[in-house]
Amino acid sequence: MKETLEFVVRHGYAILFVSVLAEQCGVPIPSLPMLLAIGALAASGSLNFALALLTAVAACLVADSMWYWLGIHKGSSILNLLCRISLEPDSCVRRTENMFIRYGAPGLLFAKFVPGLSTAAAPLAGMFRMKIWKFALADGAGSLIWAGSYSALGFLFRNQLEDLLHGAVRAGSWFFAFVALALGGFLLWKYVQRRRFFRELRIARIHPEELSELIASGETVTVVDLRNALEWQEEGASKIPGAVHVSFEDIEASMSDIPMDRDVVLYCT
Amino acid sequence: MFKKRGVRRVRPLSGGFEGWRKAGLPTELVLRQTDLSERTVI
Repeated sequence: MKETLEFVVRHGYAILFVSVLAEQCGVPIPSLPMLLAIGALAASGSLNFALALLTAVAACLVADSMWYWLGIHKGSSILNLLCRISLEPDSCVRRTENMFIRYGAPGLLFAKFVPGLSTAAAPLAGMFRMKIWKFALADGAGSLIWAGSYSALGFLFRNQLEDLLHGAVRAGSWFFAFVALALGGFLLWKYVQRRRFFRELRIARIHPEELSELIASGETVTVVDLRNALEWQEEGASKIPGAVHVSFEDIEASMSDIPMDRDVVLYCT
Repeated sequence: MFKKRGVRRVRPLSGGFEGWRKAGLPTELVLRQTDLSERTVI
């Protein structure tokens, strides 16, 4: 334990940089424990708080600049790739797009606090062709707020974190086994939930040709377009004939306007 | 959500709008009147 601590103190900045860089690049290993630890070490005088903060922000900017560039050159395929490894991939693309439509550049200030959005926000900025100076400013500020918040927590609650660490060391491998089990259980639940969702979708889905035949035969069916407002407002935007547009967020409020005595077919992009 | 309101069946369109277009099926231009989210209640 003592050797580990000495190692962290000696290589703290490098470990922090790598940890934050990895997480911001999409590696599913949280850097939050490292940020808390760095804050705690800064409180004890072992590390410089400002330098640690700068290190974390630099790592964020390096990773986010890469994603921004990929967003410009690869477009939505990058977002689809990131969302594929998300724990909520089905709503991930829509949520990230809607965040940008609603908040624009200021969304980058808090995106890092939102699971799933923290990595997707930078490529989205590239996709939406946010000006590079605006992106650098907003992303830098967001990274500072994010890294600063957690490091400050570590700084302020150094004693409690130490107690927690000592407790974990005393519990030994049982503690880590418990954490691993809890995390594994959560991921398994998410996986099962997703499989069930897709199974229901597979059973219920309708192919375009089938829908076209239904409409042509005079069968009453309500077709609902759930694409985001941006796609509807594009020049020359088109839709399936007869479809009504409802943004996903307003779907509950629009229920009374959608005929319910028939099949409802939903579609996105 | 739809089923709670009594809808018979909710069916996602396979392939989405892109799937419909790739199948060569007809589309129509977006008309503002059909956007329920923006409908004004008098």
